[in-house]
Amino acid sequence: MSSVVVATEPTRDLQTIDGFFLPQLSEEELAELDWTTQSFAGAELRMPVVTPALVQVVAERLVAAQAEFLADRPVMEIADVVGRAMSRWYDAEYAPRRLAEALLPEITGYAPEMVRRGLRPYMKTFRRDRLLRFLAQDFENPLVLDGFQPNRAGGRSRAFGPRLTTQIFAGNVPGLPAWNMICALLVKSATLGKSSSQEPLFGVLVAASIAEEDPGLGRCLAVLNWRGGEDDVERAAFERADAVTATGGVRAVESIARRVPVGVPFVAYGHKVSFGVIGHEALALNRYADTARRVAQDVSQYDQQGCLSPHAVFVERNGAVDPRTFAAALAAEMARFERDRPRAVISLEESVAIEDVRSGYEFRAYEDPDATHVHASADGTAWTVVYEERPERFELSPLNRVVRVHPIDDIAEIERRLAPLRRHLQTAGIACAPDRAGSWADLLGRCGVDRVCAVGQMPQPAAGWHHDGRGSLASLVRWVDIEGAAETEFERYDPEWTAPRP
Amino acid sequence: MSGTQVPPPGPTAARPLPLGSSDMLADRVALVTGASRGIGATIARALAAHGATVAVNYLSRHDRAQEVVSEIRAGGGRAEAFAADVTDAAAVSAMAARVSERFGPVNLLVNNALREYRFDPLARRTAWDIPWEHYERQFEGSLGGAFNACRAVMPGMRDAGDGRIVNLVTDLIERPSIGYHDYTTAKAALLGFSRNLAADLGPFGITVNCVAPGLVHPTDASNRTTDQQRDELEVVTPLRRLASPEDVAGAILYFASPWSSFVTGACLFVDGGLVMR
Amino acid sequence: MNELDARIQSFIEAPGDPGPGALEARFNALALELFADQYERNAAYRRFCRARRAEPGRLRSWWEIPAVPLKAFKELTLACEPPETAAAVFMTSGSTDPARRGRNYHPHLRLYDASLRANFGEWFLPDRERMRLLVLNQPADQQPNSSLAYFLTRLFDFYGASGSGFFIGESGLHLDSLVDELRRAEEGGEAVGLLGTSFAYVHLLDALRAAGLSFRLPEGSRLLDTGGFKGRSREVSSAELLALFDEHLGIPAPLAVNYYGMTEISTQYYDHSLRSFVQGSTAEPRHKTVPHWARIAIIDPGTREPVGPGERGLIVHFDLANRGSCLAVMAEDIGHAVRAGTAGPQDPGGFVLHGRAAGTEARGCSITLDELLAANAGARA
Repeated sequence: MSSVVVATEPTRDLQTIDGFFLPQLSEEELAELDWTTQSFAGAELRMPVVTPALVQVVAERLVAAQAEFLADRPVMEIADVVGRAMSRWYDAEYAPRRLAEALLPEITGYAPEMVRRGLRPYMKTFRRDRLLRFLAQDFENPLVLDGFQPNRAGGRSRAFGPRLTTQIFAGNVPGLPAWNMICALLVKSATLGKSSSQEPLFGVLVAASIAEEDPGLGRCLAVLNWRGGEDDVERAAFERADAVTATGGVRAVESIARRVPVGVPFVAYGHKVSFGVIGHEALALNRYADTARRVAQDVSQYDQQGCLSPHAVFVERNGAVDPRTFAAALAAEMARFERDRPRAVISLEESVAIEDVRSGYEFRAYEDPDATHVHASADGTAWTVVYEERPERFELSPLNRVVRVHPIDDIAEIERRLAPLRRHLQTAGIACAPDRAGSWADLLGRCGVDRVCAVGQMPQPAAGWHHDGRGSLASLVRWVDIEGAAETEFERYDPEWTAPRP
Repeated sequence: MSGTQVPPPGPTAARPLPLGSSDMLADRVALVTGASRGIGATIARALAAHGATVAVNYLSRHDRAQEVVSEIRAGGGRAEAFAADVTDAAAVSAMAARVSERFGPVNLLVNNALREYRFDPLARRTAWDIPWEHYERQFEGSLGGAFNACRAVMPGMRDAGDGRIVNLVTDLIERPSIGYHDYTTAKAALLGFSRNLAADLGPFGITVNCVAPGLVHPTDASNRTTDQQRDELEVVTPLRRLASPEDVAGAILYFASPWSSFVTGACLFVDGGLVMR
Repeated sequence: MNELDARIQSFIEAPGDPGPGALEARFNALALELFADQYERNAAYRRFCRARRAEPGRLRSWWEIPAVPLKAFKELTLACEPPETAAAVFMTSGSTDPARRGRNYHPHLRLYDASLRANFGEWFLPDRERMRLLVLNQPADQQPNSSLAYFLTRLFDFYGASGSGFFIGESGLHLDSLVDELRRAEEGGEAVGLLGTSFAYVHLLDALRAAGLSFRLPEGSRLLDTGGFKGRSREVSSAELLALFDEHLGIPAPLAVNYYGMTEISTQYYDHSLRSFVQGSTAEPRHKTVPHWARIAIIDPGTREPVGPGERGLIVHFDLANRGSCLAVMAEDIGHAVRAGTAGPQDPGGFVLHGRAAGTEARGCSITLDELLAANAGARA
């Protein structure tokens, strides 16, 4: 008998999960496709190899399903169905939610606690009553989606959504595809979704829960994954769509923009920059530590990967604690956030970018230690707070929890500093007394910001927010007006006047 | 042949380290006030034995501070002596700057220094004859000294988001078995000071704690207590002996170490159970 | 040149007992001594070290010596001697703003030369004393702040047999005279060595191709190139380049040696391919070698811990010849370590250079301000 003990690798069964959503295809048709898998620590995702032919078939069936199940569905009924489907997610035991909570951290690298605590409030933004707010935000009378309604010009108008919208989903922040698909459904558009390879799962889970609630609506959704930029596939996907949306970085969005056929509306959610402004009121001795905590949450949530995350925080000088002290408190809060929601493991290149920022400021601090200070996690690049009194210009963060703190005497100063970025600004998280909020919002809006929220709430936009300054639904629809004068004219052809009397 | 094996003598004949050694405090730059002798010297040695770099502060006894430094260095530790009267804010701030220049910013401060005080239970001043000036002197020494040192190191600790402050008080503040009015009152004030500091500095990741020894023997300060008094104290102490400087240093090591990272505003009594709270 | 310099120089030139333990101990002792010296004499570096709680006496291993990032050479004055007394100031290229160029101050160049000679002999000329060297670069007197020009010029001085020369001047490549030299070599049967940057070779190869010229240089002819197409209009992979060298110059791949060097350090790292070839062992897979007076650590910048052999990491240099500034320098290059013996029993191991750590797309919306401002998001063609 051998006395050698051989260590065996603990075998771990990889769960195989569908990384696609294709209710339009039969089992037999699915079996004929070529398949590939994407493996993560705890699971592997099974996905069909996407070809132009597959996209063509799926797109045609989506258009047919839209005509059958969506085109004549009253909008309030759609809101009901979607609201009910999403309310399944409020049950912590709901299987897709548990799957998402288990797998998204593996897939994205985000801390499990952060995913869990991020998903919960996010899904609540799709409660039925919130969906009505989506509608109300963009349409004075949402019934325009069902039929012609009187308009202010004296005529009647109806809003037609696209029959099919091809949507390029983002993968940087879990959950975004739900928002894309639901917006399309509310304007009665089917969605051909391209999931992100960074996070290909969530859109599939959301589509499946809508199908569970209403299989007809489910047939208006398809989620596939192909490599971004695959020209023949994307040409097929864009050709059959009435609209295209894309959420992604500058380069990805630009590349798509070049390939969307002329005449097809293209809604791009491109690269955006957010920041915070802290008023002296929020630096009161009984508030500053809490303010720091909120800012730390805004910076740390989803490792600053979303466009909603602040790159920098402007801090007023005349508070009970000075901006430098606030930066120190913020640093301590960043460290606390890191304790239970550690930042994802990042690439070599990302680490190098952070080290580069840190060392640059460190060397500057040698010259002028009062004006510059780097607070940084001791072991590695987990978080960084740079205090910088006189920035040469507004610099972008390399992300992954790197934030700059700049003191200001007056909020008016930031207008000049943000000027070069005006086309790219998005959220401003602010903390100040109520009587100043209005004038701050005026100024921030003038700078180019399209969302003003409280610090601590930057990563969670309210339902119906004009994403990137546009109506999320309104930007998809095509208006058809019946002119008022025409209706008067039509009177002339009323059979009462025109039909021969019997 | 003997059945027992005697281990060979160690490579150094240096003084044994009753509190052990490690590199647990390797990232600490410690400033120990009043560290040229007694409890302060023991604390300095113990911190150094666990890897801390120690700034040995002294008022006038350069020779004895240098002895502590030499001893630490002989054991492979890192230390240097820094003169400053802790009641002189400018001197303390200059000292902190020198320490920072030499070793980096202080991230562990032990306030041990106090005004010269005669602990003579038979010749102490009573409640009815002690003048206010005596209180003032003790406030200035115990509280003022700690105040100056804390103020000097606070900006560095805040910038680093990390710092440990440990203040030495006395168990007499809970159990005034001998009425050293001025001394004990100042130490009680130091406890109050420490807790307020702990509340304000917590958001920056800085902890502030106190160690409250009972009668420590042998030290210069306890020399005047009589044998009989010490025997009596031992009898009423559950652990039935007096505190040693090492006992106090052990509690300091705890507050300096990662083991106490979530403890602030605490006061640890090191008196063999005389005070239980 | 002080007493420590003299000891370092003799260590570079004659390391003594070659046992790995003894060599390591000597390297370690010298590294810690040099660190102590640089810490004392280089105020900016001292400050950098203090922030990392590293100081002489506290470190036990060369590995703990704080490595300065390349940015430090731009933003600080990293000089152990007054900069105005420097024998040479080598500057990085790239930036348009001369004030933002990295500077490496050399109080003298004896250690630089010692390093250069020990290495070049070992890895490029293991089989001969001198050679006719055709240098595709400007000579040092035309580029006084270029470490590359200095390096190539010194090779010319030390190793160039008669007939050696420079074939790039202020006006560019002297193609005709170079072609003459190549033709003469081809006809005369005497091996030559070419030295230059990868980009200069690309330029030459393009010109040869345009003129329909190719050469079969005599056996033993060889070539030294150093990588980098930064800011150039055209990139050629190293495999392509090797094939072109063979095709147009008749230099087989193992004799085309690439080296890795930087302005901020004073040692070069050569491919082992030529030496292995000369010794009759395999030259593949190709990697760079680390001489005994230097160490390369491959680290994870996220944790600052070394990564295992084969794993990608950031390259950190520990170079005893880098006397004038800091011996420990963190590069911005990515590489992986190669264990000894990977390419045959003679293989001392080393590392493979992957290139600069930049330009990869991060998870989310990471982008530099300039890229963002340059982008014209949403523009439709």
